[in-house]
Amino acid sequence: MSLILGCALTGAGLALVAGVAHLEQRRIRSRRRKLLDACRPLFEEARLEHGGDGFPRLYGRIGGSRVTIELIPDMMTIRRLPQLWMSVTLLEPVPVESGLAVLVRPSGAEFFSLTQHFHATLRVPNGFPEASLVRGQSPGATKVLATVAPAVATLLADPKVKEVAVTPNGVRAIRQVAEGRRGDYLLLRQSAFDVVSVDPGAMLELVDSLFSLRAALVPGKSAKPTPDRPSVPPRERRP
Amino acid sequence: MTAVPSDTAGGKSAVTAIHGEKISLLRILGPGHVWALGVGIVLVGEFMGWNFAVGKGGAIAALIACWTAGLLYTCVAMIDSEVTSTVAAAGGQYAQAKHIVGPLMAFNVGLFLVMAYTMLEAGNAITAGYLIQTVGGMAGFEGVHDKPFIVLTILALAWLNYRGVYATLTFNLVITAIAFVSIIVLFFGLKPWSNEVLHHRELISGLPYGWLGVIAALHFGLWFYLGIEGTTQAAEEVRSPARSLPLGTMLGMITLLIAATMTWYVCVGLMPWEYLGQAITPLFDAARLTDSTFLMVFLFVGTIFSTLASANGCINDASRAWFSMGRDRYMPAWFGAVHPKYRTPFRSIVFLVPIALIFALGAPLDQVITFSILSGLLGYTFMPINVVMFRRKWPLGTIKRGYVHPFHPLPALVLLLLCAVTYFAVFLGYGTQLVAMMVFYIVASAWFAFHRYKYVRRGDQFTMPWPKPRGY
Repeated sequence: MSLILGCALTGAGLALVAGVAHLEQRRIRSRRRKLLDACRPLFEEARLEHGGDGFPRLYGRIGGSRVTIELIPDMMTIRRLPQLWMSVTLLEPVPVESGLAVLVRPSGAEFFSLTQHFHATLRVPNGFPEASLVRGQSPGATKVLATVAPAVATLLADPKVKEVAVTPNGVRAIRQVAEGRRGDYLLLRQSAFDVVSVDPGAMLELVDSLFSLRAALVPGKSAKPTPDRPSVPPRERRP
Repeated sequence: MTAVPSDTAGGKSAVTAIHGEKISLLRILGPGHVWALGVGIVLVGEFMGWNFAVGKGGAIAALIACWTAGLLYTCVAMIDSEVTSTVAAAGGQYAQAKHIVGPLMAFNVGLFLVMAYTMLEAGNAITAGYLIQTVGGMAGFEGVHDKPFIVLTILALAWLNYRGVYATLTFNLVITAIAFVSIIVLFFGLKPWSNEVLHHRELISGLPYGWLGVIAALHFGLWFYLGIEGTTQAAEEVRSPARSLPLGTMLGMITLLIAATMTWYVCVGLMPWEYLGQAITPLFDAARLTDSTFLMVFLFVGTIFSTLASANGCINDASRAWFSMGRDRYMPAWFGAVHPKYRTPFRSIVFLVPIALIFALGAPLDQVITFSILSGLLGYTFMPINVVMFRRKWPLGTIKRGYVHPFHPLPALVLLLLCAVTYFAVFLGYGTQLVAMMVFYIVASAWFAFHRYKYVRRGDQFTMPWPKPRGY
């Protein structure tokens, strides 16, 4: 009798824990879905979508140019904490004959990187972080690299920037948003991020840098989005 | 760096350490970390597996083996901390092998990781299945069989990993806390301060097989700590914080040493070593012997939770290691794919399921654990070779090191010696398995060297901005 009672109590306890887990799972997914909500008002024609993991993608225009933001959770590298990346793409054609991508501190597991699709390894220019991998679609990317190197070096001066890419379709930068909590990851390989909202200022700063990058390739194009873009509180620049 | 919690990310206040800025010890060894060290990673070793050491040499031999293995892991912590804090490229020993030894070694280290974790996953599933069968029998369901539960455990956890549906923090804390607390409750429930329940004087019988039994027990002594080197997790873009690494690992080892000694104490005081040495679930069996339904249910839940938690981590780590090998083309690049919706290494997860099932359904627990330990042991054997080559190719002063371990090469030599003794220990009890495992790795290495290596992008293997190694 006492064994049956014990089993019943165990079952009830498990059901309770499962219920709590289910509720918290819903809460976390709901929280993830709101990560880009603060950035949304900065876009014209904004459209928000959500992936299977609940992380959002934001499409729209800033200063008349098409911009896409995507949040990418990454826990693919063994012996490393999970990362949350923000990919910002300026989807405006640029006149380059060959695309290129610069990946900082490559581990080989960067599934989101364009370097995996490019096969011409280029020499790392001065001013780039030492642990950089520079790849072009073709050896002709060397010329493109020479043109954009100063603007890319400025972007890479922010140590949170993981990748900068230039293709005929536009320019893109990937920057770290958050790192998974160590305890949670070690406990049960959880990717729990202490972030409830992506900072719109950081996002706009990255967009500004991409406009500067594009301006290096398209003479006459403004290095900034249109001046009437929504303003955000000024942020102190990283050293 | 001062860790400042922030609700917004992307700005200056985000909690991230960048480029070698100092991180406080408090941040590295926060409560979650300590829990993780003690519970999330290797505490499952307290619930099952360790007791096979008792079968090899008696109760005293198991305790000596446990403490000797502690020395082995101290060397591991010292060596691994120096290399991890210097090779900033994420990827642990796998990345270290790529940079310091070469692709063939990296291929083998990747395989060691995959096999150690997959075998551990199989061992966890066997334990969970056996436990459900036992409790089912006690509840009157005599026909309950363990095999369906083994299959169910592996498939369910693989499915969760495939979907990337991660459990939540509250859930994790609850289940790991229950697992940890169950050992504490059992310990005090058995009144260790009296001879009322425990009978050490009658049950501990010295060294039944002499000192050879102590050496043989060393094999399973590793089980207490297997995987603790995984705690040297690097943050993205950051050199792992110097002295905190060995301290963190050592703290975890002390936690485990205390838990292991408590576990040993209650079990050898309740069960004859001949029985304990072959039990599948020693702690649950100890609880059964108390006639306390409360303790029995508590230890049942603790064992189930710890095995499931461990198996979940194993699927995660094994699939990531396999995925990395696919990305580096050490294995077909097909395995390097990420699920477009769930962003998980789905092909690697699915590929490893039948391997785990074959071992879980076809081999007894002690052999599965032996395969896991052997793969781990091969990884530990790589470490002294690795650190000696590291110091020779890039002597002190030629590159910036996050941490320099003292007394080099003494820790490497001690580690190598302990590894050699442990191979002998495995040979004493599981010679066939030892030979089979070695043949497997030799054949795999030959396949890599003569066939697969031509697909590897050699220029991509070395990514650290170090000067050319001495002698090249």
